[in-house]
Amino acid sequence: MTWVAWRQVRTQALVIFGGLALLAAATVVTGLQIRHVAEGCAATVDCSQLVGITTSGFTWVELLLRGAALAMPVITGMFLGAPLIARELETGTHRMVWTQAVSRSRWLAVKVLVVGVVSVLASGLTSWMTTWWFGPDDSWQMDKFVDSIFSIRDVVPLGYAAFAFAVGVTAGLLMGRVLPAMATTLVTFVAARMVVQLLVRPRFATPLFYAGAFHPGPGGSVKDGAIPAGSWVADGQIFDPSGHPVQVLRFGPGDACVATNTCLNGYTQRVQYQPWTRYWPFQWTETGLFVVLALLLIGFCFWWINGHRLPGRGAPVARVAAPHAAPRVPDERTARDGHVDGRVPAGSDEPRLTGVDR
Amino acid sequence: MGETVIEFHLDARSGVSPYRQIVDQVRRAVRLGMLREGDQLPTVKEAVGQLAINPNTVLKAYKELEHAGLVSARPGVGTFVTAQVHDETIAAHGPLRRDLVEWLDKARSAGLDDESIEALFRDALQDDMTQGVA
Amino acid sequence: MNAVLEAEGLSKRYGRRWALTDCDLSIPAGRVVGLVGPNGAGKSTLLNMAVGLLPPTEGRLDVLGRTPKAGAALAGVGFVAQGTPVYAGLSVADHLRLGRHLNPTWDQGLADERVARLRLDPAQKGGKLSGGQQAQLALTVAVAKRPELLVLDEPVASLDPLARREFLQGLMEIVADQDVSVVLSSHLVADLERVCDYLVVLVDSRVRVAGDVEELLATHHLLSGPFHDMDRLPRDWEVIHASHTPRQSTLLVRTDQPILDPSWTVDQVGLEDLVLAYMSTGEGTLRLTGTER
Repeated sequence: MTWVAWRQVRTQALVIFGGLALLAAATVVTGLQIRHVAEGCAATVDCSQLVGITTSGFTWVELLLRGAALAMPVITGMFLGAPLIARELETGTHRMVWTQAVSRSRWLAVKVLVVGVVSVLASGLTSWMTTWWFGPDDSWQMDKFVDSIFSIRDVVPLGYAAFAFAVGVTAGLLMGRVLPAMATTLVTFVAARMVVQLLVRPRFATPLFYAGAFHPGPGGSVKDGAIPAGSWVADGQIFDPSGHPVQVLRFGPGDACVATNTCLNGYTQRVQYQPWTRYWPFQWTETGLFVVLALLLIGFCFWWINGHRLPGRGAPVARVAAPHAAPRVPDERTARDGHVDGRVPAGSDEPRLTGVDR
Repeated sequence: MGETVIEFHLDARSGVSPYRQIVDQVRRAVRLGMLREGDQLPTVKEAVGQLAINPNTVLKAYKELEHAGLVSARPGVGTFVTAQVHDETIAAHGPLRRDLVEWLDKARSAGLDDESIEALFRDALQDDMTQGVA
Repeated sequence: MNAVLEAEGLSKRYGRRWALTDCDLSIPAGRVVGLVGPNGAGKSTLLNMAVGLLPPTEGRLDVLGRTPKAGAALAGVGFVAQGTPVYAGLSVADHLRLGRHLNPTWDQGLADERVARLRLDPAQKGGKLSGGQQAQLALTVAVAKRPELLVLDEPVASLDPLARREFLQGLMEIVADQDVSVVLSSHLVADLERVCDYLVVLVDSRVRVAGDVEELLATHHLLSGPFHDMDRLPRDWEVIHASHTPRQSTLLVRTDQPILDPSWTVDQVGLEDLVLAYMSTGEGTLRLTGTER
């Protein structure tokens, strides 16, 4: 059964891993050069001033890595997850495979395991490469909560991959057709990522709260001054000495306070933030969240596949319906619907399972 | 083991059942000398492979031929022709045939065409059969 | 003789439509059973239930003495689905390998022998095979698991006449060679006429008639004669179909007794006409042509 599952996904898997191998080659070659530069700078200057500079010579690798790391979960979800069952239902081969001496649950379990591992592995490798390549940069870059970093580093992509795969499998099972299932996977995955990123991730832990004197950080921002560097600021507000909220602070050379450096006297700020020490807890929480969602979906698939009516077009309709030379018995269904023993005739609720004939 | 010497063919439009057609074809082949004593009939598998018919049909035909003493089955080997058809029946009925030919001449001279002769014959035969049953 | 398939009050509903209603069937072992009926009569529904792909809505269904369900219960059942689906991306050899991995009773020798005799290229992809070759491959996978019962759902419907003939030849060779019962469906009686020795006619989700083909042919008579009052026919006649003109009556009658009334001309009825008569209800819609007896 393992062979069967692997054989059916072999081509796609080889394409994906082949692409990853090429990417890995580029990553290693350029990554070593970056490390060389980084070591040089550590000996001379404050490297944090170099954020983005070490990688700037290799924009194409950077773009490829970012793109691959961002897209890999949804790619495997669409191309490995969605067709997993939908392809069988669409071509009718589920009728061949489900009538062998292997139960549906076992069939599904092996397929999900084999193809699921391939999917998660693909994103795992991509994330590993990305995290390594950006390593020197990341060590100076304090803003690791930024989504474009947080969501393509370390373990989170594995959770995404598991989830996208499960969405694909479920959509395929419920829709029975590959293309709609792929589209649904894309839309669902992007929507889920957005919702988690914007609404859920900020609530993984109660933010810390700072209220007190305003200490501007670099560039005059609310953070970095009073709260630890690298924190994720959820909400911040500056108040003037009379207690009114201020949007923009404007001081020019004409202001007397500039000379005495007292312009900010009396200003206060209130900030809600997640300290940078929560980076790993947040990584694991988000990964766990998506893995749990994935497991729920897969569990649903197991429940559904045993004893539910399944969609799918079964036999290739066009081929069967094609006119052929032999005389046909008149189609009694069209001829007599309406008085089939007083029952309500076929309507739109007719399932597609058995294709042309049931 | 003998070599297969005849192939069966079926006429789907004849209205004669496939089993009867097989029996007739073997009898004819034997009568014409195409099949001789010791010749092997096609195996059931060969026959159904040629004709796409139910194996039981072939088996039934072979059983009837066996019953008639024309062939005999050697289990695990095949079915072989064991006898010649000495068509004594037809030969023995020579006088009857002569009568019939005479009668046909009479019918023609009475102005009956082939179709009417056939209808008349069939009618009489059926009457006779009905009376026989009743 | 024990039954390979036994149904009692078997019904299947899709939404509000009944695809199969109150089906009672007992199909004896060792037969080639033809399941005929128009499209939409419930043939596929019945067969899909028989191989555990669909659960019944009501009633009982036993196949080889157990409730059909995916898994070990299907080890003894080979199935060729409608449209004879095969994996487009897998080669012929891959299909056999798949069958071997999924069935403990797999007979690789039989599979290889069939592939060789059909002159299928083991390296050829399923999607590149002709319709007839796909059907033969699907049949090979179903047969090589050495089933006691072979179920085929409209296996020849999409094939050209030559491929149709070749498929049925192969199927009959299997029946001659192995101890296997067969149930196959078609909406064309002509497909099944030669190969079946048992017939089940399904119309409008109900079993109209089921029985041994020879017995059916022997007990059905096509009668034509002067106009007869339908109420005065012999009691033991079951009139399957009747059409009348003011002067003439034509009947298809089922009876075990000989037809004694000389006013009837008795013709033998072919299987196709017999089935058509069962499929058409009402009077006068069908012209039956018998062969003279």
